[in-house]
Amino acid sequence: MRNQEDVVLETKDLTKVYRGVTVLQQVSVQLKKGHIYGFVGNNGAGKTTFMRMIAGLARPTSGAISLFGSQSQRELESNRSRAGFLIEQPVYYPDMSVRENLTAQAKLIKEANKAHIQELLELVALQDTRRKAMRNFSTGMKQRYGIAFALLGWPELLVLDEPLNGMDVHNMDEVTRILKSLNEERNITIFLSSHLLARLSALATDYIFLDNGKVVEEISAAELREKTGNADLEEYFRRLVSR
Amino acid sequence: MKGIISRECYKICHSKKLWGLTMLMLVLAWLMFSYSIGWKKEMVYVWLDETEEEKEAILAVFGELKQNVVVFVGEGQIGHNAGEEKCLWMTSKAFKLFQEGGPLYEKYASSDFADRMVLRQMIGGELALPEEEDFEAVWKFHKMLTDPSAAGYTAIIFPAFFFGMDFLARGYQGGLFAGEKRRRLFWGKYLTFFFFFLLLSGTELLLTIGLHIPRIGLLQDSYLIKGLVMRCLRDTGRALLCVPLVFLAKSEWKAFGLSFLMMTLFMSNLSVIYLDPYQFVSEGYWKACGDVGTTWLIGAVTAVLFVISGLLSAELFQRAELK
Repeated sequence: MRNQEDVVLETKDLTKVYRGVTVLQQVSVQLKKGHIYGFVGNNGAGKTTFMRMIAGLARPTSGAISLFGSQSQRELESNRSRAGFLIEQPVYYPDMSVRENLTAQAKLIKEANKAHIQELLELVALQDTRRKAMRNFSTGMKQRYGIAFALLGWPELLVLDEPLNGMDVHNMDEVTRILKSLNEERNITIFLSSHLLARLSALATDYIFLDNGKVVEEISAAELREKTGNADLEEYFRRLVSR
Repeated sequence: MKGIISRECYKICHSKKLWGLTMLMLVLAWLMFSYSIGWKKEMVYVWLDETEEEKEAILAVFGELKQNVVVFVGEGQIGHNAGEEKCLWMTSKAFKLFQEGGPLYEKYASSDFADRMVLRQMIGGELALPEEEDFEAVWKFHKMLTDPSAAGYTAIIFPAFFFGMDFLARGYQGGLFAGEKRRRLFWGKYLTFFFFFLLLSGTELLLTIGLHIPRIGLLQDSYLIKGLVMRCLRDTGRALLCVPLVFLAKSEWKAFGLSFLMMTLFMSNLSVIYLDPYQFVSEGYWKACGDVGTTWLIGAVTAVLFVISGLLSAELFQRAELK
């Protein structure tokens, strides 16, 4: 029997219909504490929609979301403060510096102070940007900032939608390393989507495969290796959705 | 709520965009007030003991002079120290024009009052009497209070960008990620906007006074304060009307466009259906600010607009799907 305290996120029959089109169909998942979940699906499968609903940016047509065991809508909204989000693009005011953007957000987070912001900037290697306005940042720098933003207050769960988008190899290596160390050192649960399946396979401990708005499979990395005899993730996914 | 307001205040202080917008509002308001109040006015006053015919003739003369000639005729035109004598006074520049032998001089040189004007010019000399500046301060202050153009512009531009920038920067998303509820996020930002706009409106008026009405101290303190506060409330109330449009449009420029359309269709001289909530405020009110009923009504209308606009905007934001 699963210990409910270990479940950081649970959805039950989550459905989203948008202008008559069913984007998500009865998606039920459970994310356990301390795991890294790779969320895999083609373009338009519904990954971002699912994450937007978790983050409170969109409302489900039906179904339920429970974050850290929340029993009501009020608790769900409040418990979002225990998670960090990077959905599509980071939240930032282009005319403000990275430090100013983080400081503004930190006003809403009790645990975030100047020292914590400095720590995060050093973690994502943005401590030397000084007063440079974020509109002048490269895509990779913005994504790294987005991860720092999501880490404000050291959340227990990170929800990252395509965090490696627009990054060069060096930046991807760096971010992958950061995420892995966050999971190992701080036991942060990570839920991330990416089209870069090779990168994902180096990170994830579990996979959730989504196709046409439905979960087609949930499998741990170990089980996948056993099942496929170390076939790559891309090949496995291709076979999965072509069935 | 404290954190939300603190975040908004931080952004106001650190966002170059908001600073730029604020400076733009101040400059626009100053330019518009400058146009309405004018730079140097040629001031004319009329003796109360002039006959009606003479008054009409004087008005006719000065109506034909430059457009920036201001004519006060008769008692009660100016709300300053009522009962004191007012004099026919032509500034040296206007008199010089009259004397230079142009068509106006030829037309009126032989009239009775022309001699008297020359005589008074000689008695009064080239310098303005103190009373002229009194009247000038009062007149300009009235003009500033009654001028609608500055209120209209800031009401369109500022709310659109103040609230709209958070749709662009995904600032509302940041609030939700931090565990804040949508309604709290909205009301925190709305309260910040309300007080900031009041402050902005007051600053625009004080800037205009500082630059154009140097002898403002001649007016009574209570009258001055009341006029400024009521004008700020009116400007802010009109700005509040634009806030729901921002949450409808979810974009800075679309909100600006909608606000402009609303102002033009319902709150301007071009309106077919005039729906300005402050249309009950007459020019007479600004001249004296003495009508207690109107004063209370301005406050009450602003309060009602605050609530209605806030509730509608909060509901729109509650239902909005955010990117």
